[in-house]
Amino acid sequence: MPYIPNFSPVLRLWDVLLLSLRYTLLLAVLALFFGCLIGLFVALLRISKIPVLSVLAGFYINFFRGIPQMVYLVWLYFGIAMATGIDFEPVVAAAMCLSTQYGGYLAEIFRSGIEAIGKGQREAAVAMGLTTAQNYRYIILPQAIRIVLPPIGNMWVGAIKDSSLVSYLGVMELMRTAMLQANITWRPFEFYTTTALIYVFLVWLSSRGVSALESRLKYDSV
Amino acid sequence: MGYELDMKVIWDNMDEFVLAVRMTLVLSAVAMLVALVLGLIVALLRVSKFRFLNTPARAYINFFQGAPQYVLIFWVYYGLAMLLDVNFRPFTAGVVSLSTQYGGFLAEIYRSGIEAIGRGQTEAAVAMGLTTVQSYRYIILPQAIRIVLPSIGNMWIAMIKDSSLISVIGVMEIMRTAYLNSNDYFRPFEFYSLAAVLYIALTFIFFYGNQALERRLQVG
Repeated sequence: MPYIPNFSPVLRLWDVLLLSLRYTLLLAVLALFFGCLIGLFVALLRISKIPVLSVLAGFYINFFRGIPQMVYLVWLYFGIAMATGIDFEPVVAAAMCLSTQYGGYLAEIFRSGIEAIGKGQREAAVAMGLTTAQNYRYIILPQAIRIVLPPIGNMWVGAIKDSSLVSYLGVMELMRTAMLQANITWRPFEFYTTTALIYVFLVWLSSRGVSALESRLKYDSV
Repeated sequence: MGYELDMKVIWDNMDEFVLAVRMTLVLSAVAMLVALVLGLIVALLRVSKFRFLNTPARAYINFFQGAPQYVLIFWVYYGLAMLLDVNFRPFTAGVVSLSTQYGGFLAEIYRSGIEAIGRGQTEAAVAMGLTTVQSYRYIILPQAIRIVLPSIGNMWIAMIKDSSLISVIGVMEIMRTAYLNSNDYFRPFEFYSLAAVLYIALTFIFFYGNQALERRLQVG
């Protein structure tokens, strides 16, 4: 007997699904916000002339680029909790996991942005008598921001997709809500199709935003 | 109460993890092969001049760029299975979901390689009397492959990492083996640390291999 898709349970629970997006967006925002802070810090360490700092930062970046998210998430929530006795709230663990991992990706982005500014600018700043901190604050970072904003936009897109993984810890974001409803109503096809389409829509929206941002930031490079 | 690390329990179960690594690699390899073929087909459709070929290819690529792999796995194993009234083996479902998504990614990579070859070559091929098929087969694709091979290598590394998601439907790869063992022994920290180390080791090996490949492909 063929399966006849019936989307009425999805439509009935539409508001529940959309409400769960608040966790999806919250996690993506937290991941990106703290990720940027961590990433900037790690990037500055990575380009530091002190070998120890640079190497440590390199390990950080390669570690978080090499580990699958699910493994890290589960390791943090179950493993560290058992080893240290700290009981993490799922959302907190998810936010920590996502932001440290995105910190690794963003560190590479920031580093390439800073290095793209060019030695000429940095040397000119030194010649003008600026300290390194002033150099960064007034010359390098303002210019680097324009370069790194589109890749950060892509990271935002990735964060929205990766928020689906935290459903494994029980955070009631979109994927988990859909999974629960699919199990309750015995309609996995309808719910997962809808969920996939919602993510596709969010990603498409964000990508359009990033493209618009990119074209606004485009200027003739020096 | 202090927690005592117990490394012995890892050592005792190392044989399971060797099999797990093998399964991870097999799963990723099968999915990658299917994705390579699928991606090429989609890419060729994508660069076609005909709207009725181009648009579905674009829709395919955009869909799989937007959908998280975790959602796709559930969609294939539970949703698609219910729709088609088939009972997927977990390995098969994993291959289907991984290869369809990575086919989308690879299609974009192929497309950028094809478009990088440049109109000049395409036009020269036409001037020499080659059909479109011949120009692709002898001129464009051989050159495009050399350009995109490092990117394909990166996709391979990403696929190995995404294979950890397939654990949720029961394939006995690294993540699942770690999960089952950590439940048996109540030692999540040790086993998940081992899983992390294994994935990082695999990633490192393939990363440096990819870099070596990139250097060898640097044509003067």
